[in-house]
Amino acid sequence: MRPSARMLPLAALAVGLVLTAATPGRAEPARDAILADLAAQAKAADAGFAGFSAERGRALFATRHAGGKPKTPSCATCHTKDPRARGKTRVGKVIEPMAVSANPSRFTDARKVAKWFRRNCRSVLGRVCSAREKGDFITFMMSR
Amino acid sequence: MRSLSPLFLVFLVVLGVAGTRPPAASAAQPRILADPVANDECGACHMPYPPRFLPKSSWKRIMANLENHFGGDASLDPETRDHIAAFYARYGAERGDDVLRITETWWWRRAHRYEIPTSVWTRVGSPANCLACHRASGRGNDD
Repeated sequence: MRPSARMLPLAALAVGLVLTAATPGRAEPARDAILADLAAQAKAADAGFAGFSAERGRALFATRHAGGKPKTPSCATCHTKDPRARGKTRVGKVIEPMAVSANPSRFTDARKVAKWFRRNCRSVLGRVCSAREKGDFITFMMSR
Repeated sequence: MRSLSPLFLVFLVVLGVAGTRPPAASAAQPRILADPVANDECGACHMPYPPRFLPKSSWKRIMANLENHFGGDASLDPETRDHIAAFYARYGAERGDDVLRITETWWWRRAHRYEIPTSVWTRVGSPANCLACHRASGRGNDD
């Protein structure tokens, strides 16, 4: 059975909405500014810096690291393996999803971003994260 | 065996219930007490605990070492930290056990030592998850 011609504009609209929702990271000036700032820092630290990588961000997120606090070996310990899912703090409080598609306000407040990278990199890695690592992480979350 | 008099039973019940509440607050304090900054910052990870749950001296030590906060890094910028420290310094309990964990205070241990099966603690994840059982706690009312 063929869809009725009258339904076609509606279907096109639906497809358009889905596509828009699938690329939420692109049209957010605050997040772009945070990424641009991190890119400048990464470039200053390494002249060979050639852009952020969602794949490196994924690895950073999923890896069980050594050197951090024993109860938080990985980002996924609290955020779960799926960035689109809700996580839980060690005492049971819900953490809203990290993936931008599931939580469009992520990575739009520079102070908040700085605070949580500082805390959580120390907790999970036992050190601060580099600008490249932060940019990779955000790029990964924008791709999910 | 001699049976217990009803009066003695009432006495036992009263004895059991007494001492299961946090100490009364120090400064004149509204029944529902909350600070918006503390709610946001502390509440990002756990229930924002009412100041009277611990003595002022304990809050002071906690706020001075947020980098090592019960197994995590909870550091804040100095301005925010000072604001929250002032809130707990003002409304914290005047006296109490010199402990850092609420679960180590006498009133908490007394309130939770009976009747709570191990399976409940497993389900709620941590005794710090007050809200799993005490639904009103997050609004500053710890009943």
